[in-house]
Amino acid sequence: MSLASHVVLSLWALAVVLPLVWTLFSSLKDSRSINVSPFALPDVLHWDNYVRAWNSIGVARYLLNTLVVVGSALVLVMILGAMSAYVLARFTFRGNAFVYYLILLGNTFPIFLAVVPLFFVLKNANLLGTYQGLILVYVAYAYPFTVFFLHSFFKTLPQEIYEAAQVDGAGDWRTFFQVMLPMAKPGLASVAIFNFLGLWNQYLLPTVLNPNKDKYVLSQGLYSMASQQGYNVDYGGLFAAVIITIAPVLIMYVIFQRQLQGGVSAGTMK
Amino acid sequence: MTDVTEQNSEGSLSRIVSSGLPRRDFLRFTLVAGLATPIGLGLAGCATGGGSTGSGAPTVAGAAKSATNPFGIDPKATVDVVIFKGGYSDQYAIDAGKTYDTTWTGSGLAKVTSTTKINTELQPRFVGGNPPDVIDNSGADSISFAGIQGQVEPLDDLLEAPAIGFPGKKIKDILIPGATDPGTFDGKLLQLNYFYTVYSLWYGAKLFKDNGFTPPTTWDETMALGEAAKAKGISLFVFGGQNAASYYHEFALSMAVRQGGVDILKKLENLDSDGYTQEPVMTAFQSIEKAVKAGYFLPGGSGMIHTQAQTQFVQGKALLYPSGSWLENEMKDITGPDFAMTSLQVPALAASPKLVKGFHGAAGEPFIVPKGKNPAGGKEFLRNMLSKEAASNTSKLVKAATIVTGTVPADGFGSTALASATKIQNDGLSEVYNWRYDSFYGMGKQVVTIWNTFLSGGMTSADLAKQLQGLSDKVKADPSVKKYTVS
Amino acid sequence: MTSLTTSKSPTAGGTSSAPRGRRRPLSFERISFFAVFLGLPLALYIYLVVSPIIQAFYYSLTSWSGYDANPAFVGLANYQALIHDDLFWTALRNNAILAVVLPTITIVLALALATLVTVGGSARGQTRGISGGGFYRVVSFFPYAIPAIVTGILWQQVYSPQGGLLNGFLDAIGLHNLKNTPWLGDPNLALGAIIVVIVWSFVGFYMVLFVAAIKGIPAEIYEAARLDGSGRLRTAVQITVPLIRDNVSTAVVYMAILGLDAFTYMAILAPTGGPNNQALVVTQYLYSNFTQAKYGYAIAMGVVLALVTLLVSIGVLVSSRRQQVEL
Repeated sequence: MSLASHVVLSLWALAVVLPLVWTLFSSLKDSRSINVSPFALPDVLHWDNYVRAWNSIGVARYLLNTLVVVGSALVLVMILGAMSAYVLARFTFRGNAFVYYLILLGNTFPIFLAVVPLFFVLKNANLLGTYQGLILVYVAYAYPFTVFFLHSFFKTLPQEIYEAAQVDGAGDWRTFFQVMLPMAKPGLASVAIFNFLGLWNQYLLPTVLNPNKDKYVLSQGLYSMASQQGYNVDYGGLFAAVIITIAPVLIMYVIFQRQLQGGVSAGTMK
Repeated sequence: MTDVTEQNSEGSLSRIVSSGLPRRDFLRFTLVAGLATPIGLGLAGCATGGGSTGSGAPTVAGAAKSATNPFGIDPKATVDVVIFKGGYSDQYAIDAGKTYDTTWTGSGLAKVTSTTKINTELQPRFVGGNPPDVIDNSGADSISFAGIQGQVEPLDDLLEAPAIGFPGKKIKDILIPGATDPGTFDGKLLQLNYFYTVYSLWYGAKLFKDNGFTPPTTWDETMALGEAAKAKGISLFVFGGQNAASYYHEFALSMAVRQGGVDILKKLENLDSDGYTQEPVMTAFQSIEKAVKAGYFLPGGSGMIHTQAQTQFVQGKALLYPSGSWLENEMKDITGPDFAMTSLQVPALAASPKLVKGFHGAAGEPFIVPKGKNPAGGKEFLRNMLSKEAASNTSKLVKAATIVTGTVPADGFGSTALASATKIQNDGLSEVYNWRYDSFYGMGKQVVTIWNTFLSGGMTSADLAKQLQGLSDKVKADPSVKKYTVS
Repeated sequence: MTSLTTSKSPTAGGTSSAPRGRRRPLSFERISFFAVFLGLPLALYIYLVVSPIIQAFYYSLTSWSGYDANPAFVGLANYQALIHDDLFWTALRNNAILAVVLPTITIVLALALATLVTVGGSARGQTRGISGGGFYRVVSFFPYAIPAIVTGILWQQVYSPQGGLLNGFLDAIGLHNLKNTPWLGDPNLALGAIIVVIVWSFVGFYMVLFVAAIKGIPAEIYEAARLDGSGRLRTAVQITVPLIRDNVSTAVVYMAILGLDAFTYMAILAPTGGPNNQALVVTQYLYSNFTQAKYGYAIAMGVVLALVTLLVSIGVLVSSRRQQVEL
């Protein structure tokens, strides 16, 4: 049984890792060998792909923009999402269920549908093509998911703790920030990881709302390169840019993946 | 054959309202094709809705018009130029900017920038009433011209202006015949299509030489070549069925026109119910069907995209490939150094084709001058771009022909592809032909799907004709689609 | 800080039975608390998410080309036209297939892998995870971190009929007549081949989710099942699934939503809708209508799709909730 499990899991791991290895190798090959012999090992290591990707393709700039936008949006949406989830989970008031489902609704609509009107909303607010505008949009679109996951998480926190805080004379604000929020850490961590990945790979929103090249985020830069397909595409540079894009994500994940243990389950199990 | 009379020729075609099929539109739907296009499209509507109707009066005060300053530009004013940075990159336009600066002995007056996403990036500028003075409206993310047609300057006076580097000649005298057709709308020139594309078959001269093959001139020779190649384990054709099966649509129609004359295009352009049942068209379809049935196509084409198919082609796995003259540029990093890509006139379907030297050629890469700050400067920039020096420099840089005649030397700047395409072009200019209905009415994707099935053997030539006819019939029956007619 | 607060809990623990969130007089603090905690983010959400969707709905009632300043109101004409649009129905059918097949395969696979990692260890003795389970868990997640466009380009090469990885493998194991199979070009294979790609991307994500959930189940439950002589499969189906029902239904909803969208994958792997339109999806058809300046019509498609998505989501969540009550 154990052996069989290992065989199955190993095959699966291979199916997962091989394409990644392929991407890595491709990032070290030139356009010709990527296309002519896509699965051969690189004969000469084209580190120049990385230099090109970093400098002339502009990945360095994109990375900085991405860190600003995704970082700010992540912090904001985690705070706002946690606050709303907490209120909806722990307080009974008229319209609670309505608000909760209104927020859930946001999960179901394709972003595709909203993006054109959204352009005008931002334009009218003079936020088009600004960091602030993009950050707010990211926050708004990650908000439903965040509330959805943290809602059930806050429900599981023992009522006794809340009572204890009340007995101590802590107000609503202090109870949340000093008692409830720290308790929700595992849940917050896992939702943060999901949000980070979602925002890091977000493409449609920045493409439409962030047209200024100086403010491009990474995923946008990648798509812009690949959308040149049909012309003479710099495949080596493209794959090098891909590696630069996914490497930080994978490293972040490997470092923080332990947080997912317990975090997610506590978040969704009643 | 049909009731068309001899008086029709390319001249009438030239008056077609069109959006210009050219090279790039061919691939409009390629891959991720810039999700942003539709969004941008939508935005343009509100651009006009937002109060700026785009057509503000120029804000740059002009000087008096003269022979040296035909548009009366203010030589001190900046010209803002945005170039599509695609297969031709942007150096040619930056250099043209220098030509402009030299002409006007200022410095930094022409501000040339480039992007791959014309529509996404320029939309806000149209919205803000601040469009650039010249736009190279190309690529997968270009602005749908229908949406801004009312917001661009007519360029007819450009044609009447003196040509730089051609003493005593006007611009209109130095352009390849028919070059302004694709950019002419209701009799007005609204886009200047700068590059000239020759559509033909392509082959690797070295591969042919090594195997003792001769480039075929008739369909019978083509089939014989297919048999000879098969014996050596090489395929005759390859196709990228996933997004570029339509290249064979172009190929088939091109052969049909060469055989039957430009008149057969009339029914197709007018979406007549018997467009595809015309004899030369049917013959072309049946001929390709024979090649499919004989197994002359590289297996698996239906699952490939154009780059995969073209990679097989430049590796010598297939002998012939139909495409526009952008092919060399597109594949330059993948093609081996001694492949010697060469252009070949489409074969004659039968004896005595109507067009002996004819070829499918069209100007592409539309440049527009929006009604903005400095339209006079925009036109002056285009005039400089059409100068002998700039056009020649462009062809040298990008190994592609512009619409300016006589700027490509016989050796094609060392490119066999450019040299051979230029030869076909020079030989056949009096019999050049072009059509637009498939791109103009947005049939592209469905044409690909239908041809993909046909080329992978899943459909007879009769069904092919029927399904393509169905596309035309549907457009014809749709009252919401504005149509053009050819007479 | 955490230790401080938790250390206090025993003092109040157990004695309290006050109703949760009981009403208190509305103080300034309470009002400001609600305003900031719920009002502010909700306002942002309504401003940037809800209002654009409502505007989009309005556009679907117009014949807007995308350019004219004042789109003409046409009522339900776009929706009526949709009914007679064969390609739209083809696309919707393909979306329906994806919405059913994607969650099914992804979740069954993710559950199986999660079960192996958590309780797939030695059959004898106490139920435990497989050795090195952490490694598999971490690695499985990787595809989820790859941008969809890269996944698409990658699999385009894997599926390539000439020299692709898959055909090369089939050839190597002796299936020579399959070596030029056009996986993405055969009407019978294309949609399936693309489903494999999407499943590949998401299995690891849900596996991680399920692993965490299963680890939250008290070991005694598995122990009891084992002592009852319950087999592995039966344990998984009868014990694990009901206990992590919430996670499973969440996964169903998200994968179904993905199946109803799927644009990015299709745009790369079936750029024109696949052979005979067998892989055409609504978002793709919508997109091509955008490019032909039929904005109102395209948005009408989007609205229909959104309604379908909404119904599916509500359906899954409600049925999951009902079953929970029955438990």
